[in-house]
Amino acid sequence: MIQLAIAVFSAIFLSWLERKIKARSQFRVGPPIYQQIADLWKLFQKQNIRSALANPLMNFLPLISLMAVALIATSLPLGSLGGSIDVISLIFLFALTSLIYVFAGLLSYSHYGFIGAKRELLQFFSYEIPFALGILSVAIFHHTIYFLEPFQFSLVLIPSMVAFYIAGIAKLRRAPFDIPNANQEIIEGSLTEFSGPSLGVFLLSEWMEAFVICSVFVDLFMGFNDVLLSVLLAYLVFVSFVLIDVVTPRARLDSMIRFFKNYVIAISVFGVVLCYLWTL
Amino acid sequence: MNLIKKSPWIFHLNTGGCNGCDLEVIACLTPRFDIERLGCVMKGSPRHADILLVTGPVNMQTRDKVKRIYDQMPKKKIVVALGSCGITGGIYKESYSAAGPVDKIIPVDIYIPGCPPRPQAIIYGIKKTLEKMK
Repeated sequence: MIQLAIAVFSAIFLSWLERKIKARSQFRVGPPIYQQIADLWKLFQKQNIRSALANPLMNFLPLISLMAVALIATSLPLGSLGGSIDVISLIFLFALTSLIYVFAGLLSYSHYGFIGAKRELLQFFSYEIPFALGILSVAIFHHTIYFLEPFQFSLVLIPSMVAFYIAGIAKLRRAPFDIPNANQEIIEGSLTEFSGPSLGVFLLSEWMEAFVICSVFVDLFMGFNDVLLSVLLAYLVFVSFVLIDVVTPRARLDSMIRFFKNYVIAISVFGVVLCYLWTL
Repeated sequence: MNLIKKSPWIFHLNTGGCNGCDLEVIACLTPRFDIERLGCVMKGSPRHADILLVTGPVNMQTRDKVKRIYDQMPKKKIVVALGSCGITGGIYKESYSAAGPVDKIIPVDIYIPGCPPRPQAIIYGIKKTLEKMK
């Protein structure tokens, strides 16, 4: 439960930090510190509108997404707080959040949502292989599929680390891979038709996913047996994601796929082979 | 507690004006004025928005669309008419295609005059709107 409390607090804090960093990089003042809580509270008070043609299941999707992310957050090892998750359920739950985003676009009966879902699906097929192989190489290197405590840093894992980091950017839909929720092209992607409480839950689950991915990255590749240090490192990873987001333009869909196909998957396969040969 | 005051999300709608007011709305987002420090975010979807910012006179083509976009917004919504055209019809008044000012079509909560209004006036108007939301 402590992990969940840390994850919720970090999610709200980090999403504010992202807006603040973006504002300061454009020489603006940026939002005040209570902004994200005010946004969420307001969204929970508003009416929930659903198009008559949309599927009624649409309102459950944000809850499933939040549950999947909260499940990872509760069972994740965080410094000296032990975890209780294995590699397979980790890959499954992360894939579930992406598929929920796809279904959200398809069920909400909106053109923007449909295009967003299609793009997210294409992006999902690109980043999922390096993402899963990154987790898998750590399991091969440490001879365990159980993920009970943070793993130490090792030079052999660097190729997997790079691949996992790039896949993480694509999974969090940050620039240069913010193709599924490109604001200037397709409003908000899959979230276009969501309003009120369901939008609030969806936003909270996205913010938590950002923290959870950063903290999985820290735990897998440079773990420390200290809660505060792990959380701070996860924050640093998130800040690096935001800085990349600020300075890069959006990639085209085909160039994104080509980049993943030609380079990132190659790096991750190389990482897995390296780990396997190292532990022979 | 009504927190719309702290996080007003704005949907900006041009109903056929000359684009002058729209440029001033864009100017509000620039580093000099920066309405994000008040918690405002420009949203692309009316379902996310709390404030409908209408510029331009409503003409025959956009009359039904304005009504529809107003209906698509979730409850507790505020409508702001921006610029002379939105308030009285402006230079388009008595034109053959004008369908009347904004308050003929949808209920308007606050009017921000000017042709176009300065960004300071827009920020002041939004501030006043939020104070009204007690």
